[in-house]
Amino acid sequence: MAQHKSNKTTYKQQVSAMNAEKKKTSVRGLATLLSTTILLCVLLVAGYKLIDSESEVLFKSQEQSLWLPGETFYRTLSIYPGGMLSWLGCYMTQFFYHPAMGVWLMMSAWAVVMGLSQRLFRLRGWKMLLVALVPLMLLAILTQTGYWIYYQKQPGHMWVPTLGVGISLVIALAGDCMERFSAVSGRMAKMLLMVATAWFGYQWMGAWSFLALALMAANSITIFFERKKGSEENAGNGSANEYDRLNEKKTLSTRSEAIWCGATVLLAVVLAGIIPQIEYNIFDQTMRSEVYVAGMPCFRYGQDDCPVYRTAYYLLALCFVVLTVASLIKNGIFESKVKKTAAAIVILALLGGASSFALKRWNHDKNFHAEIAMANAIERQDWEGALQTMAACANDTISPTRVMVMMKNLALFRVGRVGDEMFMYPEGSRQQEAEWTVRMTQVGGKMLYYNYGKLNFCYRWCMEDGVEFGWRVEQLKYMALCAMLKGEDAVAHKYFNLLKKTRYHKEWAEKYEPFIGHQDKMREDTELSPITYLKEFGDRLDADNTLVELYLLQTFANGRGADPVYQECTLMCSLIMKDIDLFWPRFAEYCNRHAKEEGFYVPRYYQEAAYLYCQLEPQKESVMWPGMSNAEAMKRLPFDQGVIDRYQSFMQFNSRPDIAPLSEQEKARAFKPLYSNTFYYFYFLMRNQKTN
Amino acid sequence: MNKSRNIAKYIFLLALLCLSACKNAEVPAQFAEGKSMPDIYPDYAGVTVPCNIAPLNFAIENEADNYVTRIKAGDNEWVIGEQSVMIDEEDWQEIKQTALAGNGAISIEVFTENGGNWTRMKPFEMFVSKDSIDPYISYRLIAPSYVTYEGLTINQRCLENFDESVIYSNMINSNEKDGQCINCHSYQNYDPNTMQFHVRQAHGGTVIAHDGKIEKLNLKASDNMTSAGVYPAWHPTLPLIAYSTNHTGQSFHTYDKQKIEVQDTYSDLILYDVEKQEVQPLPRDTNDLDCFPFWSPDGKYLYYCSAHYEMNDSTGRTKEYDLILNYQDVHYNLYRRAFDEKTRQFGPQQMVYNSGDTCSATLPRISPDGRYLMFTRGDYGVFHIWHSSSDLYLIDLTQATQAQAGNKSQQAAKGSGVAELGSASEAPTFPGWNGCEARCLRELNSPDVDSYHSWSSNGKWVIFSSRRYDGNFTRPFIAHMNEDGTFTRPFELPQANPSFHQEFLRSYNIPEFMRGPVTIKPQEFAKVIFADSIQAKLSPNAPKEADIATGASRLNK
Repeated sequence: MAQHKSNKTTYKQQVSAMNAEKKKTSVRGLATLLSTTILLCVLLVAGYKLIDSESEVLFKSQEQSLWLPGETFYRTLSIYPGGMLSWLGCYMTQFFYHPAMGVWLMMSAWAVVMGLSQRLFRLRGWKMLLVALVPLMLLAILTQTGYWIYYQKQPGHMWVPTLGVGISLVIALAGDCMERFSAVSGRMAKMLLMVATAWFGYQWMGAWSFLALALMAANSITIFFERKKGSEENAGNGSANEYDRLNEKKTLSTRSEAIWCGATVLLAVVLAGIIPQIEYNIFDQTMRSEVYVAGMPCFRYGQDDCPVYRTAYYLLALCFVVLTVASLIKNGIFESKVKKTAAAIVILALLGGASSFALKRWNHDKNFHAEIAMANAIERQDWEGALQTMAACANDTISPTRVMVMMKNLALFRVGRVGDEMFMYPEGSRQQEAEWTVRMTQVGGKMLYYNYGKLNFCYRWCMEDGVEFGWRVEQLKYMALCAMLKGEDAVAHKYFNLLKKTRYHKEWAEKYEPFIGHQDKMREDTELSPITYLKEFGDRLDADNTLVELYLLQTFANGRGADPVYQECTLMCSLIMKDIDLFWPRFAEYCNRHAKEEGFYVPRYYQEAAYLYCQLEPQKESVMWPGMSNAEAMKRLPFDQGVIDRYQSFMQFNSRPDIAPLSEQEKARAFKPLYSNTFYYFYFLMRNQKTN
Repeated sequence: MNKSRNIAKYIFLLALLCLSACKNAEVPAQFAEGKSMPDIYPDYAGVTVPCNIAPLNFAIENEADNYVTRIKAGDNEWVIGEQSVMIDEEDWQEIKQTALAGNGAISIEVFTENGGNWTRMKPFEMFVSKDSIDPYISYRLIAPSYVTYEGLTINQRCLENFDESVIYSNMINSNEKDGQCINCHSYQNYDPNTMQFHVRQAHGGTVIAHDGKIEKLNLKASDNMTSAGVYPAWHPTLPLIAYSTNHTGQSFHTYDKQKIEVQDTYSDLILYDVEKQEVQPLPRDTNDLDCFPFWSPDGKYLYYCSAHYEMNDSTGRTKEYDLILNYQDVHYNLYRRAFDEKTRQFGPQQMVYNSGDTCSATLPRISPDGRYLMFTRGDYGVFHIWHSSSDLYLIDLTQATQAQAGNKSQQAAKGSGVAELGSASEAPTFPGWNGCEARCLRELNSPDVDSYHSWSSNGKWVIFSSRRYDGNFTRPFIAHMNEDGTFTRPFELPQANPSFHQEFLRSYNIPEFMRGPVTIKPQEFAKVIFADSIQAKLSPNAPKEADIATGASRLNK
């Protein structure tokens, strides 16, 4: 009877335990479900934010990349460790041509990365949320890019980290399966996989292969503790651990397990240390001191080192340490010490920290985004779009970069409103927000040279950058156009043929290629004809000393051309240079040339410049009417009343008792709200503009 | 049921695909005769190739649905059914051997199919010569850029197959902070392991491999030298290298297709003794721009080009700026100096080819038998690889020797057997140069750049750089020299992938023949380059420092 009672009690206890376990499992299942939902939501939010604010940048990233089918292109990348990853990265970068599609692919890849991380580290319940750390760091790596989009030398850099992490996780999971498959042969197979990963992985993935090795080592540690815990449980209840029982696997003693685990970790360390040194003899184009970072992006430009960009990579590595620790906690290594509440707080803190880091590293530089949006608009021939972007910057307190100002002037010039609207947009010379000196030759300069008809200089910088930073779609496009416009037909075909092999630029190449050899058609084409009018016909030896703006201003301001388009360009540049002697003959020529045209009027800013220069040098002989002074000539020039009124108002404002004693900088601030849209303000108060 | 049927269908289709892939190409039984030859790249129609050359793969550029190419040599034929005609290396050996058993001709017929109708394009021939070619060439691969130089390599290529490897790459010792440029590889008498090249900027110096050693030297032995050694020429037998020393600048054409102009403001010649590590400057005139030395095969003469440029000091300009303004007025002539191997002294300057201020002659290269002098002639200047006017010219030196007797009497009359070194116009002429014409090698030249050239060690072949295909990217071309001093149609360096050069965005620079591969590994070079340079000494035979600087030293022998 007592025995029966005891059995009954035991049965009740068992049922109760089973119920508790069921409840626990169901709670964990619910937590897992909720975690999965949260992770997917995080991805959706990140994807939405990327599309919403980074579409133009992502589009530009594929223009600053190149992927070509065939062996020749692959060979150019595979001479360095990590070439295959770069090749894949370049392939995937193409899809940013449609930013939404590119982002969707990226988010899918991150979802896979999270899935693989969860599978490898066997995190369930709320701990599963920790797998979001990896994509958060990948997001930081992606969005911190900024001006590296032009300067980064690693091909496919936008995708390489995601691919490197993804492939490393796949390899580590394969090792995990091997190790769990059998205690001895599985581990030996895993070790072989590690050797193969080190040897081939280093060739194909460069330093990312170290991540795969590290993950495999970490995985072995996790499995060791898992089995140790299993053994302890077995010792407690006299049965094999769950996994081995289910799989009827032979088990090893804890000591043997520890030796295997130690050997695996040691092997990973040794391979990571030795293989790059051995393969230095295979890769004859990699510096010995750089073998351990081969395949990683370089955040150094010239003498400027930018270590802040490496932080996200270090934190990415740290994320895997966190996941490993979380996995160990799950297996009870630190179970007694970590309480659920504390764990929840730690998880939330980690996720919060990673999120805020990702947001902090996200490049929010408005000028950078405006530059790219304007450049993209100009490349689409959307001149009004470029002007709208520039106009939108007027609301910002920061001043624009010179390249933005140059693009604005170009857009106005192309729509024929430069004389009327040149100073209606923000002016400035803010240096690009980067840790190194960003130059216009890399950022926008090629486009400016092309559109101003300086075809050899555009071609030159495309070539220089192709050599320095690797070949990119943008360079090939400009080189094709320059060669075509200059009548270098054979080489133009070469570049067009290369572009026709790309996924998304075939159409572009097919649009322009028919112009080859047809200068007459180019002259008739609305897009190409302004360039044909501006391009130089005489030849001389010259150099721009990497100063695009100065070179353009000086060559045009000093140039004399019969063509009306060219002539107005010389007038515009002499005005921007504030060079009175250069201005007058070009102004006179402009007026004489257009005087007989129906509805002719002299645009506002040309008038303002002429009026101001007459005021500044009244006694000097007029260029327009030789023998007459500027003061007399001024009376004959039919200035708009607005031009005169604004000048007088400007001068009156300047003579106000509260304004007159101010320094030039203070005056610039005081005048800005009222007069920043006048030539007078530009002439007197916009000085020392530094170009780059 | 449907599912299994579908699977069967896929298996059948897969099998069909495999079968079609395995199917041998066949020459169509019926075809129309085409009126033109096929458009092929590279254009190998009518070329003569050495008996040990790699397969001449080519791509057919005519639009068609299907392609069949029949290659005939003797009574044998090989058929390939692809647009890219890539000949198996073993088949190619057989083709060449069969052709050589006959008259050397290989006939190529291309059949194209459009809309089910086959057309046989006009056949063309290639010829296999019994003359072999050196098995290796080396060249620098460089994008035709101007100031940037990432990823520069000096490569070697086996001409008998498609094996290519890196001799040295600048990236093995370059990082973002410290870049380096590499250039001017040169070999002593085609010996791949007695060679030199320069490294500029980071870890700069001249790397010289000889007698199993590798050294890096700073050849600027004196502050009065224009520069360290630049354009090299190994003496054919002695451990000596002649160099030009150059103060070079470049400027950019604003519109011209030639894009850049590379000019020397100062340039002189030096002689470097590899064993003694001593530099001996040659006497000079500061208004002379001496460049591109090259030894005669017997080592008794040093050939070079030189321009005389005197600037008008009254302008107040710098010489650099003056040269930029007058770049089209700089004309180089060809000269030589006798060299005494025992005393290591040079004789007076003798004019070999007078460009007559209408053109500019550079890069004198003498054939291994000493009979021919090949050079590059352009409209002006020294850096002809950027001059579309540049063409290859040839002087038969035996004609000059024959004419020598006739000229001797004239020279004796002038009493100028040994003359004072002077300007180009004052210099004594190479005996008989007036008597032989420099022949424009029309059979080699193209409307675009044809420049840097090298003779094979047996003197039967020349390799030269040409921009004939697109005007921008230099490709190596090889041509056979006939007994009468004419050349057969040149052919572009064959590639495994015939379209390779159409996609490749780098130029081949300084193609040089070698008797075998350079066996020194890039990493060995890298180690030496990373270390400090050995400072070369000024030779006791050198003219006094002051004389070097002013050009006051004049040889009167």
